[in-house]
Amino acid sequence: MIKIIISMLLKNRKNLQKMIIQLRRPPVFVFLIMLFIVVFGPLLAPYDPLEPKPMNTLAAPSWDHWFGTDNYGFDILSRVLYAAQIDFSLALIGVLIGGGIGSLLGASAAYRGGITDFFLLRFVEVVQSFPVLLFALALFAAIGGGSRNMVLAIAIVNIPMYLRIIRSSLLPLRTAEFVDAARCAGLNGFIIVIKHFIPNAKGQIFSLFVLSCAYAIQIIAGLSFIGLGVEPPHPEWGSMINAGAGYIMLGVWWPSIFPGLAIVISVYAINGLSRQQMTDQIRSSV
Amino acid sequence: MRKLTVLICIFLIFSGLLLAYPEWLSLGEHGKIAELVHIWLGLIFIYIFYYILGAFPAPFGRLGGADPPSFVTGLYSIDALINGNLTLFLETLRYIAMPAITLSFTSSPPIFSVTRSAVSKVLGSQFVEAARSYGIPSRVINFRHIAPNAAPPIINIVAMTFGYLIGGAVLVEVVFSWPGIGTYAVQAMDFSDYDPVLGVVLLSATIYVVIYFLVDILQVVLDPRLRE
Repeated sequence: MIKIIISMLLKNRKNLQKMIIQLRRPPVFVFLIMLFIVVFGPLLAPYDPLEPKPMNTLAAPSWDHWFGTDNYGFDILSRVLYAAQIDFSLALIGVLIGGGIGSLLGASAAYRGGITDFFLLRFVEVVQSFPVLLFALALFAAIGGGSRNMVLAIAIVNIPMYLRIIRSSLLPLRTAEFVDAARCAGLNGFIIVIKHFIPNAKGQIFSLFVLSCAYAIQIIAGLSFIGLGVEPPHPEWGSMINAGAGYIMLGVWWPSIFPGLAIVISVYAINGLSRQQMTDQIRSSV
Repeated sequence: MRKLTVLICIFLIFSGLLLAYPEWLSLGEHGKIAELVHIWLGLIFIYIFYYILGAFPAPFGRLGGADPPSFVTGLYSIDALINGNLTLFLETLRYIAMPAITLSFTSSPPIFSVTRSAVSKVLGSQFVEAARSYGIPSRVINFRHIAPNAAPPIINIVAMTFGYLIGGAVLVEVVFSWPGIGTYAVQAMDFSDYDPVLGVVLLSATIYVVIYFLVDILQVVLDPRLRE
C-alpha cells in the first residue's frame, strides 16, 4: 500500500491530483479512517478491553469513558476499537476463502459448460434458496459455533454469490479466440481458467469482494448477536449490541448504540467504496 | 440538558441516515444491507419511542402481559376485530408497529429505487406518448398503460425483499421478544436443540421457493410475451 502511494507520488503530479480527488470522496475518506482504526485500534484504546471495573458499571459517556461503560464495567470505546480488528479480519478471511473458491468454480463452470455447469448451478440454487442468516444458523447447528466455524460459514455463504456472477460475466468468453488459441498452444484447462479466464473478471471480482466484505461483517455481528460465533468476553460488535440490548428499555443506550454505529459506518464506507468503483468502471468504459 | 443534547445528536444521525438513505441502502442488483441494521434501528426505535416518548409499548412480544383475544384465526389483531374489541385491536396494532416499522425501514429503499427506474422507463416509451396524444386521461394512462408495464421488476423486487425478510426478521424478533419462528429457532439453539433450527430453516426455504414460483406465474400472467 505505502509502496504504491510513494510510487504514485513520484510518477507525476497528475496521479497526485487524482489521489486527492479520490480522498475527497466521503466513502474513500471514511474507509481510510476505518482502515487506520482496524490497524492501530489497539494502540488507540485507552483501557484494556477485558478488564472489568465492577465499581463503574453502566456509566454514561464522560471524559474518562468516551463511550461509557457496559454492564460489567468494560470501557466501550476500547472494546469497539479492539472489535474492529476481530470483525474485519474474520470477514476478510471468510470472504477471501469463499470468494477464491467461488470465482474459481464460476470460471471453470463458464469454461467447461455442459454437466459441470449444470451441477454447479444447481448447487448455487440450493444454497441460495435459504435465507443467509438461517443458513448460517443451520450450519452452526451442524458444526458448532466459534470464530473458526464463523469463517467457514461466511466462506460457504459467499461461494454461490461469486460462482453465479463470475460465471455469468465470463460465459461469453467460452468461444473467444484467445481461449481457442491457448487451447491449441497445449495449455490445460486449469491454467487457461486461472491465467486467461479469471483476469477478465477482475473488476467484477473486486467490487463483489468489497460488497461481500460489508455483508460478511453484518453476518458476523448478527450471529454474535444471537450468541453464536465470537465468544462473549472477547470484544465483538454484535455481542456488544446484544449485551446492551436489555438495558435500552431502562434508557441506557450507549452499550448497544455505539457498536451498532461502528458497524453501520463501516458498512456504509465499504459499500460506498464498491459503488464508487463501479461508477468509475462504467465511466472509464464509456 | 444532557438528555437534550443526546436527543439532538440522535436526531441528527437519524436525519442524516434518512437523507442519505435510498443512496446507500439500495445497492443495485446484489445490494444487501442486512440483518444488523435492523437490530440497531430496532434498538434506536425502542429508545426513542418507548423510553423517551412513551408512544409505543415496551417490546415484550405481541401483547405484553395482556390477555389475548379468544382464538379464531390466531392473528391477534383480526381476532380482536372479530370479537368486536376495538381497544384490543388498537393495542395489537401498537405492539406490532415498532417491529414492522423497523423491518420496513431498511427494506423499502430497494423497492423505491426499482419502482422509480421501472416507471420512468415506461414513461419514456412511445406507447405512453401515443396514448397521451390520443387524449386519454392521465388517470387511465397511469393504471391501464403504465402500471402493468412497470409491474414485473417491482413484483420481482418485492418478492426478493419478502424472501429476504424471512431471514431478516429473525433478529428483529429477538430484539422485540416477538414469539415467532425466529425466536423459536434461536432459543432452541441456546439449548443445543438442533431439530427446531433445521425445521425453521427448511420451512423458510420452502416459503422462499413457493414465493418465487408464484412470482414466476404472476410474471407470465402480466407479460403475454412470456407465454410461449
